[in-house]
Amino acid sequence: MSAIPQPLIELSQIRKVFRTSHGALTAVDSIDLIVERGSTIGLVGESGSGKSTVARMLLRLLTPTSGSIRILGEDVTGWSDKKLKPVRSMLQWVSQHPAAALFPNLTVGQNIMEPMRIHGIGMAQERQRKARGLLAKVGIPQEGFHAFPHELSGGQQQRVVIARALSVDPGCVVLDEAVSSLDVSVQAQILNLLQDLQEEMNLSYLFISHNLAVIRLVCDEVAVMFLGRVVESGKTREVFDHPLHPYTKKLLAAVPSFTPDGGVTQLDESSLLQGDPPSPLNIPSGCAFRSRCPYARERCAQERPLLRRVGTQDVACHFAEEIAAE
Amino acid sequence: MKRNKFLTTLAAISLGAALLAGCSGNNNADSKENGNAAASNTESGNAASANNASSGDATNKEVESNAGTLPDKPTGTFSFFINSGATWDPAIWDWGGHHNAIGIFEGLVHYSQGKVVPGTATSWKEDGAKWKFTLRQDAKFSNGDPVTAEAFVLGIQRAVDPNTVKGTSKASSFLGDTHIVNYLDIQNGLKKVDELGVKAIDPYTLEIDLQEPDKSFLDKLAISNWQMPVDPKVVKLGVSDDTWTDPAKIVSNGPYMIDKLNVKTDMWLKPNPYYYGKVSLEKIHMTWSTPEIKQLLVFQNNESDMATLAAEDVPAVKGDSTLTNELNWFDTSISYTFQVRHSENPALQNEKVRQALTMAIDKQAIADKVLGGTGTPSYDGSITTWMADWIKNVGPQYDVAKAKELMKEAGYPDGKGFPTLVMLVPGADDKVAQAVQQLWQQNLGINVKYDGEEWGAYVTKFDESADPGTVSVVQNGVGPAVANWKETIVQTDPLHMELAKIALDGKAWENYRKIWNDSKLEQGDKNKQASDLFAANFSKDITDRYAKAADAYKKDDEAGLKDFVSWRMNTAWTFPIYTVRNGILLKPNVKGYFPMRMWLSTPPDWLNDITVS
Amino acid sequence: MLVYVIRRVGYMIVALLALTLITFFLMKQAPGSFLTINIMQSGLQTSGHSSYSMDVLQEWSERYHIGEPWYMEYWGYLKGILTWDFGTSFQYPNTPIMSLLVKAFPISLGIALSSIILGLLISIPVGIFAAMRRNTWADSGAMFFSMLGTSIPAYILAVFLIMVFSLYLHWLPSMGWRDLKNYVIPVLALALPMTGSMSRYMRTSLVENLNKDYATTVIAKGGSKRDVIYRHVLRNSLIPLITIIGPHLAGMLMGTVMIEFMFGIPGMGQLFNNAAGSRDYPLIMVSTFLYTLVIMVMNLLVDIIYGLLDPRIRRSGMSD
Repeated sequence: MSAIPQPLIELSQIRKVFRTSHGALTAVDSIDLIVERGSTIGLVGESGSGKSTVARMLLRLLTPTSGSIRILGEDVTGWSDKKLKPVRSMLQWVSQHPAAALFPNLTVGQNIMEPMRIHGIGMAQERQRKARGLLAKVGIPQEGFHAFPHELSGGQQQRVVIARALSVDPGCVVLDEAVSSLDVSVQAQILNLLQDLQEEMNLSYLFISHNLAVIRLVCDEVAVMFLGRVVESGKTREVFDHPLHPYTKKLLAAVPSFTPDGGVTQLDESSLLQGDPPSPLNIPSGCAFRSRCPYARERCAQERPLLRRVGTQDVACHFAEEIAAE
Repeated sequence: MKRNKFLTTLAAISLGAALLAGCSGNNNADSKENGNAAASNTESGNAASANNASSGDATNKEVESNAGTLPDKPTGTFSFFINSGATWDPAIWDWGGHHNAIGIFEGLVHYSQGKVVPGTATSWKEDGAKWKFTLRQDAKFSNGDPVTAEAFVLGIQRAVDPNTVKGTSKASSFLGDTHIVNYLDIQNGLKKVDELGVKAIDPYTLEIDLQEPDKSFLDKLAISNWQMPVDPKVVKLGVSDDTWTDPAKIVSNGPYMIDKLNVKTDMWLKPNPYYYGKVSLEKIHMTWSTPEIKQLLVFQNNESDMATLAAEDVPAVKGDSTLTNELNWFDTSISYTFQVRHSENPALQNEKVRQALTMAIDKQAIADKVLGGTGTPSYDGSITTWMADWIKNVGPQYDVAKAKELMKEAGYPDGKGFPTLVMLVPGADDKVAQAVQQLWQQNLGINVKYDGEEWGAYVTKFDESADPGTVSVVQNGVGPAVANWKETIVQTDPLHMELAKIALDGKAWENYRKIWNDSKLEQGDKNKQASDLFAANFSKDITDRYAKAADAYKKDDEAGLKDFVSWRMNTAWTFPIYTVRNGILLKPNVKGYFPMRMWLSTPPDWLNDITVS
Repeated sequence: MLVYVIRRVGYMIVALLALTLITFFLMKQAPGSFLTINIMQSGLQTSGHSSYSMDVLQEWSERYHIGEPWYMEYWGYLKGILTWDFGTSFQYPNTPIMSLLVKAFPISLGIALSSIILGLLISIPVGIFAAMRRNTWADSGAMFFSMLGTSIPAYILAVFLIMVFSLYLHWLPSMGWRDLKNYVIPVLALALPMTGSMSRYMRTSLVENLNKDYATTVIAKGGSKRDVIYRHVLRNSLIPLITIIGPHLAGMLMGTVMIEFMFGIPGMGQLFNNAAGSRDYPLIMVSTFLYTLVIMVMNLLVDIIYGLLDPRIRRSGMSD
């Protein structure tokens, strides 16, 4: 440990360009992200906005085209899989479809022990004890130890995935749409579980979701992504209560909220996002959001707004102050 | 007597076996004439054979003879392909049975370098229809037992005895083409087998009594399986069991004996240690061939000393000087023909139409282009060009203009109004039949349909009438019993029957089939009703012509016989296309291979003539 | 699992019965009978004794229930099959069918099975190779060659192999049936064309599994590519491959026929071909039955292996 406490993970100016048969596709463009120990960072945005690409780069499943990834201050950007191996136990991944993520031919117990096997942690007996402990921790009865994944429900499967992720004592867990495929009631249980585990194990989460309600519930900080860029970031409460980017505003407006009498508020049609986002293969000049932005003016077509500090948030809009003043 | 012969031939419905060994059923016409030097009155064993007597055969490359110069000790291995063989019982008719005759067994006489030579009989005397053979006293079976006259009597009796083949699903090797006294009554169960005209005068003198003198007797003996002696201590009368496929139990008397045998795969021969003479080869390896086996590749890989060329391999061999030097062209006596099938539609009853069909076939082109030389034009089913070169000039010739003219005269100008002609062929891809189909369509403007049938279906449809409204021809393979054109005329009495039967009109044919297929009729009644039907319906012209031919044969009237042949070809009831010619590759160190031309596969005619240096 | 196997065996018995019935009718439907065909091709008709065919017919009628109602004749065959007493064939009345089969069947089955095993041994590594380097030239190259293999028929490949291994290298015999060496070219000729589809199947299946989250998980957890392929993906990718072995085997038993003819191998091909061509009813019935039985048993085995590899099927009792 260095004298100055390092953030657990630090992404700076990372960029990812995919070469496709239709030309270069900039999936992620110059993003900075810091994950501190014990904190929960949210990434939110429409599908195709580059959230998962960021997650995969963070997990080093993808190598960034440019920029750097530091883990505990160490630049791991160019490291080989072999070199990365010890680092990887720090970072664990929980994906959207637990059924696909679990090894179909291994039992629940074996699934949980697999990362320990990979990292050569402990003897067989220790691994089993730990796996059983984790199983209990995620709320699955011990009979489940010898079950096969397909015999469990979706929620249970996701609990197993989480238990598996925790088996190597990671510092950070990337939760990529981790609850999106589950029933709402199950979502709540899993989210509670995640919060309990965070407190107990001092975990940090990178929480990726398109579900604003979930983000609001669990995240300390949030970054809103649009077409590969962060358009707004800050404390969750600030961003949600006082959005400074027109896109964030639109997103929030699209969330129905409950009225005290149990009804649902009417959505204001005019405030909803119209049309599809532009193709990432052909990002417009200036501000990418301008084609759908009610505030768009001449300047937006010519000058790309950079992320800048406005009040409590970072925001990439020429007219953030104007919006803040509303 | 006459009735009996007639009944016999009834059994020969037709020779449907496409292009297999030439075994047309043969009845000998009465021929007391004794004019053939080849097989008559020979005290010594130097009988020249009809097989090689007439040579109009420039294409056959002479294979160097080395008979009589055998090594002191058997040396070398000779390996070659055979086509068939299922049992080695000489009393059983089997397509592979001739392998007995080329050196596993040794009969009274055998072929060697194309001639009939003494075998176990050192000499013989012909006295009319009585033949007396003097046997050598040092001949022994492969188990050491002596080969006596008694052994020959037993062998021939077994072949004639109808009980032998019961339960084998096979026929007797004694096809009835040699008229030994009482053979027919024995086969029909009227007489006992010991009444057969074959007697042991003493242990080393054998007498065979024929019903009438037969100029071709020695030739027929030499290619027969039924003349083989069997060891009376081992083999019993009246049964043929599976010991005949077990090399450990087969007792034979030829220069070679079977060492190992995997039926349909391969077999090995080794010298018979008790053979009286020298044996040339240490080992003989015979491999069963299928049309799918690439014999050329096997030959090139030195796994076989012999290979038969497939038509598609001819260009490759011609482009390779080594292979060209190893290639021998051997004529066979087997012809690929079509013959008229019966139909309610009388269009093919018109001789002009049949002649037009014959004239529209370019046989030379088929032989050269389709067969690549693995066939030569055939003009007559039983007389090949190598037996009689003049045969190519006396029948209908390839002449499209004249063929068209004949069609016009028959009332079908440019083929108009002619019914669909169906070609019944075994197999879906017969290139020759397809060529004939094309020639007929192009040259005559008629509609010809290729009906390729699976073998069993082909055989079944062979005798059936054509579909209503169509006319039809069917593919057939035919061959003579002896290789002498004059003899074929009298030796092929069934061909007379064949021709007359082919020429029957559709209605008479259907009536005949009704009788033949009537399961309620006793066999005797069947025969009688059929012969009555034939007597009433056979073409008088055909019957008369055959009678005249028999007369000409007796008088040795060559012009009369040629006249008959020419007439027969011009009736065009059959359409001979080509005679099979085998391109046989032989390794240069193989000497003494003389082909047995009476058989489709042209195996060596006597294995003990072959040496491998 | 046991219940499943028992139920499958039950289906098999029903299917086999149906098949013998279908074979029986098709066989009877084909024109001609052994008697007429045998008369034509064995020279019986020229043998000169006219009563022969009647005698033989009489004898066979009794032995094989010919001429009785069809169900009696069918029952005759069925009884033979059920009691495993096949009797004798028309063609070889002195030899029990069983002894013909005992010689021929192991040869054909041996060739078919070794071809499939060899096909798998080639296809799996090629598929892995291509999948691990997917969308590179190595992948395209491997797939091109495997496609080439598929498009060349076995008999042409056989000629090519003879030219290479026999004529050029002098390593192997070009035909015949004596020792193990005779196995090599026929088995290669049958196995190589199979590798085309099998390795593609393997590759596709691997790529599909490699794209699944659990494969990514392994990497994310610090596992190596080898871990991914050999510990997880391969096993799951083999499952679909195994399902195509059954049909391949059926095709293979047919494919051996041509190869058996080409190399003069005394297997079932020759036996069955002769039986069908000469309407040898008992031999047709028994060999068809045996072929089907083997194919069905093989398919059952494949399904059981499938179940063992895939816990989803193993536990749920293989309901489908």
